[in-house]
Amino acid sequence: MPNLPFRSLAGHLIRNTLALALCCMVGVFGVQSALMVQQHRAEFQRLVDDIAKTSVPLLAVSLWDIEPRTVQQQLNLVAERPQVGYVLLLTGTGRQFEAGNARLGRQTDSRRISIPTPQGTGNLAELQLWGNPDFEVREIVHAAWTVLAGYGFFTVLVCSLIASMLRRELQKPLQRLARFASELTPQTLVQPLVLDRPPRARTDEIDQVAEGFSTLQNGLRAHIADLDRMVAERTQQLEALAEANHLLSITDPLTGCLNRRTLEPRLLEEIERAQRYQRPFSVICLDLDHFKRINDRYGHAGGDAVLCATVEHLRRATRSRLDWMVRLGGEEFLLVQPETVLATALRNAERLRELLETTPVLFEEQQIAITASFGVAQWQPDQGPSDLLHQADALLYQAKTAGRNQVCPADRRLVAI
Amino acid sequence: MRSFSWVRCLVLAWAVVLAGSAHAVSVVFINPGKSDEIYWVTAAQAMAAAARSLGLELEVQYAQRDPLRMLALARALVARPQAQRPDYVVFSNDSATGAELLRLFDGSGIRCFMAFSGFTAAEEQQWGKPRQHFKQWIGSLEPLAEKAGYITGKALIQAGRTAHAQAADGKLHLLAIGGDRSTISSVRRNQGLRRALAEANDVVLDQMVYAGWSRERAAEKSAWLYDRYPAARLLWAGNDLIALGAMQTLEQRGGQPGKSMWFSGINTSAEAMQALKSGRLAALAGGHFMAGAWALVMLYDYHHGHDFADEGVQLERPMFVLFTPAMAEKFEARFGQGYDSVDFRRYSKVLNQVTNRYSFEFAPLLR
Repeated sequence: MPNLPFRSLAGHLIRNTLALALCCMVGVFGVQSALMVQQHRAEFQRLVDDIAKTSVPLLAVSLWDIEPRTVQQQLNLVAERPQVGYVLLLTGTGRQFEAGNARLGRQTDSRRISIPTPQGTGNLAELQLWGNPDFEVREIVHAAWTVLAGYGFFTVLVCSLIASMLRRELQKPLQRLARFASELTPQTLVQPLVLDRPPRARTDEIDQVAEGFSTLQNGLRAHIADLDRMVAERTQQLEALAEANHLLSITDPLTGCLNRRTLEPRLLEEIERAQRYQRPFSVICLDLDHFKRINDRYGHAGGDAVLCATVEHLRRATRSRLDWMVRLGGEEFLLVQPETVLATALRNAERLRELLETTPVLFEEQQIAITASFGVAQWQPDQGPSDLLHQADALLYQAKTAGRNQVCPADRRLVAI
Repeated sequence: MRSFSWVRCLVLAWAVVLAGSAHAVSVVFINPGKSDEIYWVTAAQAMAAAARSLGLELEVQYAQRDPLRMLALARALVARPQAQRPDYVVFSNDSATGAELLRLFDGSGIRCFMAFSGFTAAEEQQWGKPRQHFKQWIGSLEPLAEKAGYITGKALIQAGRTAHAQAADGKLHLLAIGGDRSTISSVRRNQGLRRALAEANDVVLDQMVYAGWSRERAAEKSAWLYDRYPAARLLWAGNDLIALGAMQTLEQRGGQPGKSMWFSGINTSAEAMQALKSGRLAALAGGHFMAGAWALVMLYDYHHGHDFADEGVQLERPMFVLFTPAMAEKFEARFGQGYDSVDFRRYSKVLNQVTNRYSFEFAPLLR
């Protein structure tokens, strides 16, 4: 909306109504004045006729009986009528009587009435009558005031009524609507619109606007709720993706074991826990024997199948909730067993060795016999991760060197240490 | 001589009886005219002379030609204490005030007598005759006003004929200015004129108007009439003042009364007499101013036990005389200083046993 100055709708309506009323008043007054002028002319003619009927016979008798005072009185009576401005009576013998304002007698045309003798044998005199323009003006001014007062009063009354109704029925609800709309925020969107109007039997435009507002609010609310749901869904999807990504980053894609990168921080955590609670833990390092030969013979697919089967065996044979396994690279794995002393770890390693030896891997309907060499070490206090790994790796190397398919150390004494 | 003194003794004794019975008989005259109006002043003077002659106590009150004042005077009389009220009140039915005056005096103990003008026929129809509806209204005396109109009219026409004042149509054109429309004496005078006109087929009455007995109004109205009827040469007037006013207007317009126009009047004012003698006035009748004085004679007789009812309670008597210049001369010589020269006792039936009918004619007084 362009930035225009504010103009109240009710005020505009009232101003226009007043202007229209004023125009109508001027029009009505004009028509009435014209009618009044016509009416006055007709009335003056009637008056002249009346005078001819009433005063003229008396004048005739008075003139005939030579009663000049009575004649003058009669003329005065005629001139006393407000419509009459000036009266002049000229007798046949040249005598003249007059009454009223002689100045008016020179201005306009007169009405002439002949006064016959009582016997009707001839004319005694002629009566001339002039109207009173002041009276006409006075009457019109009086009528104008009456019209102005009546019309003005009526207009003020109607305008007041309209103004009051507009303020109550239109201006206040609209202002309230406008304020409500301007103060509306996403947080207060659910807040209902209260117009505070008196109870009515029927609805009107304001109610329709309010209802439209309410519908809009509900639509917006539903729309926002929908958006929230979609965002939650997407977030969940993203979280799942992130989780998968994380899993990918810490595991070996082929076997599902943790990968080499994850090893060191996990091992460090394990060490810290063991230190804090003064608990033992052991690691078993193993490497499949002659894996190159398997790869060569069965191809990489065969190798992969062997690796997967091996991991599967190891997982099944260990405590799924406590123990964890890392593929150190190629066909070498590290199994970490918390809360396990060396002797137990050795036993477990031995069991695993036997399991692998006795359980050939089935690949493309061929049985691939596998064995593995094991290096087992228990974490020693103030031993770092790399030291521990190094120790286990060294032990594995010993087992390889000692002929493969064995657990090193084989000596039980080491267990005591 | 002896018998004479015996009669004198009888009269004295009778007078003593009368005096012992009460105070002197008191009469109030409510004069309708103005206190400077010659006719009514003359009438009052004649009454005063009669009262002196008859030993009555007379009080004259002028209404100044104001009908309302006549009623006010009557109310004042009635409002007086019983002892101060007059025995009789004399008034004229001028401007139709008679009935109201009778009503005011009814029950007051004052007896009423109407002189100069009585009831019209219509008024009589409504209020009755004396001693009927109003018991204290004992009677009325009116001059035969019709005769005054008649004799002046006839004399005026004769003057016109003598002067050959006919208009182009060969007729004498006559204007008439009456006194008023309502007073009975005025109506009767006009009737007299009409009788004179009816008897003369060479005379046309152009118009009759009324001047309210006023000289000024007559002067004004006559001017209109002269304009309206340039052919008229005769003017009959209801009284002397009207005639004098009309003559004055004519003179102002360059005419000469008695030479270019002829006038008649009624009454006996000095100015009218003078005009008659100088020839400006063609005809003048008078004498009825004595009606009040004659009424006192009747009241005197009534009070002293001789009721006039045997002649009638409503008397009309010919009191007018048509004056000649010689008679005018005599009238002035006789009555110029008042009317005390008339012995009113001669007309009393009580005082003159032989008289059986009142004779109030004026002519014998001028012999």
